[in-house]
Amino acid sequence: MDKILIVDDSATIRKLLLFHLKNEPYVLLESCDGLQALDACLREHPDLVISDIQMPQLDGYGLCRRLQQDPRTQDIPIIFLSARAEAADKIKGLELGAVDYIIKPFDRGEILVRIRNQLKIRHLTRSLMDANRQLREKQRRIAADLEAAAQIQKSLLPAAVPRFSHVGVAWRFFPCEQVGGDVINIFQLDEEHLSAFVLDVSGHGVPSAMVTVSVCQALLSKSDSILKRPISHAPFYELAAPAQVLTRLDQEFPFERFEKYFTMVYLVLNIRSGRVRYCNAAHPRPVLLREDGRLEMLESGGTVIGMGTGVPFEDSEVCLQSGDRIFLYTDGIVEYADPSGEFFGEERFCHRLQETRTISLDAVCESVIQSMTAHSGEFTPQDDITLLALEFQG
Amino acid sequence: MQIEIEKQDGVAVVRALEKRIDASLSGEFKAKLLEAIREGNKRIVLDISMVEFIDSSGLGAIISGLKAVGEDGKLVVSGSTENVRSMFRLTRMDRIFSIYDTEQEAVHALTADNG
Repeated sequence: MDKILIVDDSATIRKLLLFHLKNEPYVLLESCDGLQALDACLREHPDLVISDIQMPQLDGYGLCRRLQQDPRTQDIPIIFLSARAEAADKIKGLELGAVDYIIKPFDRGEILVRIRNQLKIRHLTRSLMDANRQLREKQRRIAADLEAAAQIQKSLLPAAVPRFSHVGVAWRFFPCEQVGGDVINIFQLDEEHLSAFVLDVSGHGVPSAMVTVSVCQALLSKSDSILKRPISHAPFYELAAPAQVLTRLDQEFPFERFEKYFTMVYLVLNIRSGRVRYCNAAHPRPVLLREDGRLEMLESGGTVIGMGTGVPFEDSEVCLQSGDRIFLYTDGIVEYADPSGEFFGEERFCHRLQETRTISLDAVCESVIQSMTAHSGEFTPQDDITLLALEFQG
Repeated sequence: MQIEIEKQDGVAVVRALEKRIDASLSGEFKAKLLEAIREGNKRIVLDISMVEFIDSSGLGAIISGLKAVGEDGKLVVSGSTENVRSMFRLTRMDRIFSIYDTEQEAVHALTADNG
């Protein structure tokens, strides 16, 4: 039941009000001055205060002010009840934060309607504030979860710029939301081989990010590796050919499993010979930039992963000479659009790589980002942006 | 996401009436396409002659449709613009979807298939 505190120094007025309200579904409290009322508010936290203005100790205005100043009582609505019919008094009362103003002598019907209205507003405000608080709490939890998810996803990327003998590496990764559907990685398979992959799961945000985690787990699991299979004779393992890797993933991640597909490039580089075997599952074509500036696109392979069509993935091979570079990336770069919708495009991207072929890999990555920024006028990723550059220095 | 469905000789022609099918529309597009399939349309021509750009989530919606019509059903694409056609080519989806120049050709192919 709603609690109403009646504040008046006149016992007659208090009685009259109690009499008017006695059959209504309210709990009624009384105070005979502002100070007493303040105490009662702190103790009882009424849903509404009906207060006289002129009272000893603390008057109605003072009471209103003190209630407003204290965070524990500032949400208690107050209706002034006064013989003063002057407009200036009404305005002063309302300016102080009173919700209504009733003039004595009052009519029972009027006072009941005004009380009901204020209580209704009070209930609506309360449920709104509750909903708001719950929403803020949920929002905070979602933000914390997303932050945690972003950390997990970061753990799938190379921890720092990895250092390998005979191979230079640089990379950039900007998810367009806190978490994204892109992953790149590069790591050593054995003393002669490095492998690198880039993959892009369809869609964005948390669902895609969770699929990337699942795929990375399948790829990087030490016990049952798709990349390295145990055999019975020395050296007791065999590196899986890129096409075999993509075929396995196509079997393990059918589209129906998550309603997602992904595009991917997987490559294995022999760091002694410079031989690269790769397979491209419908991913934006990696760029092979020869030391002399010639371009080759690494496009052969198959369709997206998850279709389970039985159309085989095919391996291809290229041989790197010292100074040759390979760039793996995702469509966030080539489909980076300017305000009119024009893409940055493969041509501009390749051109940039050719122009910067004598500077360091890290500087090249930076210059690609600069060039994209210049194209669109700003740098705000519209899709995950991923770039991995490697140079053979054998 | 606006679509239009018209029945022609037992084939449902689903026309995508948007210029872009990206993450903002693909969820709704997928829901409408799957609803049409659930209602019993197993032979579908998806006309995308108005669409100038499809991103990965849009392509995902079309693949959901293809998977939903199942083995006995058929979902083909018609009227792809140059941009979209090159997307199908780059993702090698042109090996998975039958793509026709016009809606009429696609409908004809599906009805002939049946007869």
